[in-house]
Amino acid sequence: MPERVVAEVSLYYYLVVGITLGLYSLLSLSLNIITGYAGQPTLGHAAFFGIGAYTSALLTTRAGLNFWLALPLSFLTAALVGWVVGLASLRVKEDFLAITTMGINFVVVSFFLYSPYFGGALGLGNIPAPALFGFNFDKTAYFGLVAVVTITVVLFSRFLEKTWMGLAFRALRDDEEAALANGIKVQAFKLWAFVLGTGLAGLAGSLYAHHITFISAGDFGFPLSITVLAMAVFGGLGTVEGALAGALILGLAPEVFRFLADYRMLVYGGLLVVMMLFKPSGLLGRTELKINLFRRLPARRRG
Amino acid sequence: MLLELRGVKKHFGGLKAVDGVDAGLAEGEILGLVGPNGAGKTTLFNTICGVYRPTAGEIYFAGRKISGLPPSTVAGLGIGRTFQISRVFKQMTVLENVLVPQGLLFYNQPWRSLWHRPGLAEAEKARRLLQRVGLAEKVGLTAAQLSLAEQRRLEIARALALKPKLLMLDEPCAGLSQEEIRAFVALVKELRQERLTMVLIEHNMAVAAELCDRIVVLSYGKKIAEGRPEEIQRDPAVIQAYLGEEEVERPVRASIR
Repeated sequence: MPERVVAEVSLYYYLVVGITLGLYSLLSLSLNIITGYAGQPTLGHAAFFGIGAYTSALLTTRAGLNFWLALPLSFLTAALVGWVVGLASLRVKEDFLAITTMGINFVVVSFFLYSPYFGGALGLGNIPAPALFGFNFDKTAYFGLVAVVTITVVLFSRFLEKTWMGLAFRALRDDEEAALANGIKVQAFKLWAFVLGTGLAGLAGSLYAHHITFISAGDFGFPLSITVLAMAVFGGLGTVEGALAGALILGLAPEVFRFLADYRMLVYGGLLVVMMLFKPSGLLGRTELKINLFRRLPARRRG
Repeated sequence: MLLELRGVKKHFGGLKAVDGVDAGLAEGEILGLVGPNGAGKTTLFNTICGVYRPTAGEIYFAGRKISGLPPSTVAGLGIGRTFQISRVFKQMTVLENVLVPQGLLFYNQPWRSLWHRPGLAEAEKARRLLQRVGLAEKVGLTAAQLSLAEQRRLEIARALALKPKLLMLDEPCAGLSQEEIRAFVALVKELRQERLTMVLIEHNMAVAAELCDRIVVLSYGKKIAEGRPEEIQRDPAVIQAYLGEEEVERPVRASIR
């Protein structure tokens, strides 16, 4: 191959890896709002990523809408579904919430898979890359877009931490009964965490759809939910640095350790359990995952 | 009357934890709630705070019916409380713990709480309250790092940050040393001088007698005595409830009933 082609291929590769890491960071940051700040474990985050992706894909391919309109609309759609789902499922907590949200993930995936309108098993293709004032986004520009959105979400998370809402999230995470005695409407705030987190996952989904240009139900399954949770827990729940570190390290690992790529799920799942046992607050976190199933393990070991 | 209970009952299935209690509390008064274990003190306390909805009866606070309202609303109306088993926000700093209740205005409108944040005024107020309860030096620690006695004081500071009209303390002295109890008594006396109305669950009769203007004694969910501390300590029904009957002459089987 001529040298120039090699250079371009490798630049393209780095851009795709960069975009993927950005998307993982967005997912990890959005999960951090629900599971980190507000302490509500969810195993169905990929479902909302999918809802955002499908919304954006359908709006641009079927309704002929502009990407720049589809992007915020996929945030709103995922947030709306998150609100409805949260209303029903946030009555339970900890392990039960984890199981419920996992079920929601399966329901959403089958919904995409079996309804012809969503492309069924064939998925949806020909999703256009965004354009602005006649300029078509190539991968370099798209990487820039993903980076800008990720930085915005980082800044938003930092802002959220300092607000009364952020304080209320952390209070109800530490102790629901005490939060109630301090005037915090616990159910309402849990729902807000869920709506913000699922909405941002939907936003990431839209960015994914227009990056990959072809989506199918399998992209948004339970394994992705576990991957994102593993990232957030590994990096450390409850901090922006933790969410980013987890996404970058675990997102980059399969690129560096190519031979491990096939065993990725095994590694992520194992890592999740190992972290819960030995360093529950992750690398840079300030809180632990509230799933008792995992917490009971070390107790049994000691006993 | 700041607080008024009318025939309050709380039953859990067949268990009549609180079974028809009438009581009133005037502004500036300190009411002691005493009784043997399982008498229904904490259940009554939690029913006032909105944790439980009473099975029957009504509770009025500052002229407004509060029975049936959720605990967050009751807190917003001006009832601050502490817990028997420490419930500080463990992963937050001592200062942040006392910031939390100051967001009350925003917790009623969550969308506004997203655009407002605690500022210097709130932090200053939190520092003042922490100084009051003797935790000025611990401001930056995580709440989990405090001792039990310090966590109790933190809970009081946190409850005071709600600007309560009524402060409810659930066994604030349980598990404390004599010295810590003396310090606590001094703190409550200070609060009394500011005419803060209080309800105090207390096992320790000596502490209750020293602090309370009036004492209500519960046994098996019913009020068996009410009056000034001196009267209560002489009341035969109270002595019987606490110590069992004196000079048991009847057959053992009859005394069980």
